[in-house]
Order: sequence, then structure tokens, then C-alpha cells
Amino acid sequence: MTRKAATLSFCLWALLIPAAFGFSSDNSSLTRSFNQTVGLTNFPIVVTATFTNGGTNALRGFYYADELPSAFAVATLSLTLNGQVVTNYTFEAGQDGDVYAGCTPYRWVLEQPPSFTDSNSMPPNATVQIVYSITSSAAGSFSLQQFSWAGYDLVNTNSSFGYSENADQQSVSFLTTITPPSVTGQFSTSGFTLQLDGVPWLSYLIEASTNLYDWVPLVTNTAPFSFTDTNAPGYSLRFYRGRLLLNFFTTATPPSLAARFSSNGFTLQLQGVPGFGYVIEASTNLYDWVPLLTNTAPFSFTDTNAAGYSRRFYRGRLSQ
Amino acid sequence: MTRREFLRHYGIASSAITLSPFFLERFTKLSAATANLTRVYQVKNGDCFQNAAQLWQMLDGPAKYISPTDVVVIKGNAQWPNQGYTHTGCIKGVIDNILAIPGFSGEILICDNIQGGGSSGATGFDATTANRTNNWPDMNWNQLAASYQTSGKPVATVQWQNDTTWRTPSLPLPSWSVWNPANGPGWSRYFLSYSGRNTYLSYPVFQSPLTSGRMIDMKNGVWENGGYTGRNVKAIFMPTLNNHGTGAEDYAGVSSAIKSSFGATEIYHGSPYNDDYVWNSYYSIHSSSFTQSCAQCAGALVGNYLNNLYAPVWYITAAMYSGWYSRTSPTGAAATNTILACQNPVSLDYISCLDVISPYASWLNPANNNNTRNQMLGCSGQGIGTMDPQSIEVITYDFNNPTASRLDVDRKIRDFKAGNATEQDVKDIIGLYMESD
Repeated sequence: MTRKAATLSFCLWALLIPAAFGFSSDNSSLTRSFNQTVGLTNFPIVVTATFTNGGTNALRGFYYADELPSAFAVATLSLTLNGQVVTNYTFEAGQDGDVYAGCTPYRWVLEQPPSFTDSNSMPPNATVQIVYSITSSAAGSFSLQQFSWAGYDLVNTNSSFGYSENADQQSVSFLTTITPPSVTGQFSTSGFTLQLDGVPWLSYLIEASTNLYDWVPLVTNTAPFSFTDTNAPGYSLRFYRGRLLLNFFTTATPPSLAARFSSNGFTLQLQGVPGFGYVIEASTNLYDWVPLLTNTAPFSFTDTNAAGYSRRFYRGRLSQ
Repeated sequence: MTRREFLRHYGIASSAITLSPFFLERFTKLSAATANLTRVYQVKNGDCFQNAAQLWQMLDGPAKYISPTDVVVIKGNAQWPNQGYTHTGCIKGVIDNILAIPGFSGEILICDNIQGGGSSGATGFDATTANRTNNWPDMNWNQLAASYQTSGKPVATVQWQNDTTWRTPSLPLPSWSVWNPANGPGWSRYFLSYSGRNTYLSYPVFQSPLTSGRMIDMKNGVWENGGYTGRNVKAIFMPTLNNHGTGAEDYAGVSSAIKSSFGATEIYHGSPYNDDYVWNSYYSIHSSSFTQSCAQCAGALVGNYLNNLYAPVWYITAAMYSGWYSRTSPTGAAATNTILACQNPVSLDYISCLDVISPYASWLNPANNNNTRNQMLGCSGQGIGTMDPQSIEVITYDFNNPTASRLDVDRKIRDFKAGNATEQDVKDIIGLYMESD
């Protein structure tokens, strides 16, 4: 196994098993998990930290800290306390190397001592969930560092804290491109066997279609893998394709295209996540697609050549 | 202004957020802005040793900046008696923590050029007891180094001497005349034209008093046996905080971090009385600045020094006493009991003057149009530091009102994780943080 493959293997393990909290001075618990640990540059990976107060009294002055590689941009997606959205908290960044070399501390502070005026007291058994994105414009594999929490029991004037012991020993990778998967097939005794090759340990989907328009999912797995379509003999014609499961974009609204005829052609309006790059493509057969325009959402485009086609299909998708 | 006050004052510690992507984008940028602030550390109201130890703790320890094998040059201000030379106790406090770096096998050299030698018995190196008013009474620098050596510690003093060997620079400017350590002590010189005036800046290459044959090159590191060894030389500038004039501003304004570079370069033969002397049409830093009554030129040339020669890893201003009236008068200093640190001299002088000395000497307030400010303007004009209060984060520890920050907590958790702190240590610092105002 190559070093890269080993790293990716470990990342996958980390993805499937959320990082359990290593040490707590009381019975509280904290996990940190990722929607994936391999992503594309400039696209977010979503991190979820979940803390439960295991103490016997309300926790005051709680804050959660994550030491993240300084190359990352970090943004909060949501913060909830017992399922209720919290808006009056402080999100702050320290400086590169403040605690760990090459890392910047990010903190979500529910209450500012000593007066705790933000009033985000955390009763026993209460749960805080912090969802944030990490993005990198630089490609590479980044080692993660300590995450921790601290709080205060005002009743007993007792401090409590916890941190990741070994749970932080993982990395995330940002890639600039991902080689498209290859799918090869051959008849076998039990059907039609397909072999998908892609970036090891990334998740791919094999889909099938009879008309190149309607596709049905057959199997999802991590590359490389093989699959035998035992239903294949039942079809006179069946197409297959493999594609990467873009769970990088699980937090991004899929783009929408609105269209209308205009005086100089056919005008399309693409809506998507503001600032994200999208491409509008066109096809006459739903098979061969040509790019028309790449831009950041939202944007509009007029296809002045539309009148030259008896029919033309359009689609919008995230550009990579 | 404390860090907390600063954040509150400028609204950086925002407390509102929505889930709008636009807002998230802006919020992310706000956080990044917080991370880019220039930090000035300030410790006050402890004794010199307490202040120094607390300062190093706030800087996350000397080992973060100094390797066990490094040669450390502590460049003080030595020229004047009493509060006029860098507080010996503060120097000791800084050194004690460096010596405590596990496995430290380097050297610590206390240095200055004292601009021509000063008066016998009245400099930092040799101050008599009578000349230690508003300073550490126990020892002068030479005595301090001797006491370390008595206990086997690698600490010594070096008065940088002046080199009478002139070298013609190669043109066009700017240009270097690099000193070869094989030729013994000397100066590497950098020639430039500043504001139409040909000027030279230089740094010393000198013999270690602790290791025979070891030459200390401030820019290129340790030289031994015919070559550079790869061992680093790290400089810590430890200036005073004094009014250069007497009871009012003079041509220089404050004598502190920016001006301290004057003691790290040549001023013709070290003579303060001949600084207009011209060598091969090149003037000394003093001749090209203060002698021209141009404090801004002084700052600009120091900026050139830092950009082209070398820069210290830290500036630590020893302001146990601040000579608000003058740099020497025994009755002209206040016990300010403060030390401050920054990695650039501009922001450090700005805060030192604003917070520590100008309450006693309004003419040293850098918010006003004066030579103290002009020094800073010149230096910051070379891209060194900032004097914009909104770009400076002052982190203060006051022994009269101890506080802790989230950064302190996070570092203590890290230390606990590494086995360098106890669970109770972490709880104690969290408790202090929770009670800090």
C-alpha cells in the first residue's frame, strides 16, 4: 500500500468513526467528525463538533476551540444548543502558531466571562452542536491538531475542560483535480461485471440507463471495486457510467437554471451558491455536452446560437 | 488597553451571526482580520523577575524562538547611568528563562556599542553602585555575567568595538562590504543613499568571549574553523524607555526600541562628537538623521537596517523605571514597573510611549506631532510594524489584577496533553479566565 493510500485509508476510517473525545475532567463528551476528509481545493469540508454537558450543574462560559491548519479558511455554518439555533456567541480566530506551529486557533464562545452576559448557559445533559466549514485554496494533506473545550460550574466554582487525546491524529486532504473514474465491463456467468477504478477510497457510484437520459443507481462503493449486474441479461441495451459522489457539496444548494426566449437568443439564469463557480453546458443528444460559459453564481447567459438548433438541452453544474 | 478592552472597543469580538452565505463570508474575513493584528505584550506591577517570567510565559516560552544551540545576543542600551542603561534585573530575568531551555548549550552575550564608550563607571557594563539609581542595585552587566560564569552558565558581556578599517563600497548603491570573520573582529557594512545622503549601516562580527575561535556574525550566524557552522545567532533587543531630552522633547524624542538600533551599528569610531565625519562620502546613521534634526530619518534608517541587515527575534523594553524627565537624572524617572515586548519596534514604542511614559511626559505622546512620532513614521514607512491603534492588539498582564485569556487556557491544555502541566494547572487557569474582567 502506498503512503498516500494508507493516508486515505486512515482518513476513511476517521470519516466513518467520528473522533471520540479523549479526555474530560468530568463526564462531558465531545466528538468531532467530518463529512469527508478528502475534498477539492476551494470547496468546503464540513466539520461537526458535538458536546454534551455531563456535569451535574449548568456549564457557564463554555467555549470550543479547534486548532486548524493556518492554510484553512473557516466559517461557521450553524451553532445550536439543545437543537435551538444560537446567534449570540463569539467566533474568533487567534494567530498562526499561537498554540501549535502551523495552526490557528478558532474558538466558538457561548458566554464571555466574568458576567456571562450572552446567557448561553448549558444545563446538565444539554448538547451543543457546532457545524463549520474548512476550505483550502492550497492542495495537500494537512495534519489536524487538538480540539478542546472549557467551562465553569458557577455553583461549585469548579472549572472543567476536555480535549482530544489521540482523537485529533488525523489529516484532511484537498485535491485540485480528481481523475475521472474508469468503468470497464465484461460478460460473466452471472451477468455483466463492471470494474470501477478511481482515486482510492473516494466514493463512487455506478449508474445504469437504457436511454442515456434516465439513470438509476446500482451501487455505491469506494474505489476500486467491482460489481456484477445480474439483471443485465434482462435488457437488450443498457448503458453504464461511474461518477464520483460529490459529497463535497452536500451543503451547497444544487444550481437551478431558469430560461426564456429573448430577442437575441435563449437566455439562461443560473442560481447557485454565491461565489461558487458553475458552468452552463449545452447538448443536442444529452450525451455530448459542450461548455458555454463558466462563471460564479448567480449569473445569466444568452445563447445567441440557439436559433440554429432544432433542439438544444442545457444544464448547469459546479465547475471544478 | 487590554486585549478584552480592545476587542470590545473595536467590535472585533462580534457576537451576532446569521446563516446567510454572504454573512458567513464576511464573518470569516472578520476573523482573519483579528488574526492579523500586531501584538504588543505588556506585563506590569511585578518585580523585574516576575515580569520577565510572566512575559516569557505570554510569549509561549523562549524555546519557541530560541534553539538550545543558539547564540543569543541581548543588545541593551548601555551608554548612560541610572535609568539610562537597560535594567540589569530585567536582563537577568530574560536570561534566566533562556538558560532554562532544556539542553541549552549555546551562549548568551550582553552587548552594546555604547556610542563611543560612555563614562567609566557610568555605563550598563560597569555602573558603580552610585550610578544604579532607578536600576537593579545588585549588579551591573559585567558583574551579572561574572556571577553566571561563576555558576558555570555561558553568559558574557561584549562591548562592540569600532573598526578603523574602511572599505570602499562597490557601486551602484545599495551595496555591501561583507566582513570576513577570518580577519578577526570587524563590521559588515551596507551602503545606501537615503534622502539623497550617502549613508552606511553596519553590524558587528565579533569574537565570542566564551569560546576561543568562535566568531559571532549577527546576520550569518556562528563562524568557526574557517566557515559558518549553521548555528544561529538570535538577537533580543532590550531598550530602555527614557526621554532623550531634559524635561522636554529634544531632537530625538524617546530613547527606546527604534533608537536602540543605533547601538547595534557604527557611529564613526564610536565618537559621539564626530558623527558628522564622512568616510569616503558616506555618513553614519547618526549623522544622517539626528544630527540633521531629522527623527523621521532616524526611523527610516533603522527600518533599512532591519530590512537589509538583520532583525531581532524580539524587542523587550525594560521599563521598570521610565526616565520621563531625562535619561540620567535620579529624580527624573518614575517607577513604572513594566516590561513590554513586540517583534517590531514601531508598535512597541507606540504602546510604550502611549501607555507607560507619556502619562508622565506629555511631549512623548506618540499621538501628537513630535519627534517620538516622527521616529515611528520613518520606520513604519519602511514597512516595519504599525502605529495604527486598530491594528495593534495589546495583551496585558497586571500583577495587581491577574487575568487569563482563552489563549492561556488553550496553551495550558496543550501543556497538559504533553505532560507539562497538571489537570489542576488547567483548572486553575480556567478559573482565572472565568473570573477575569
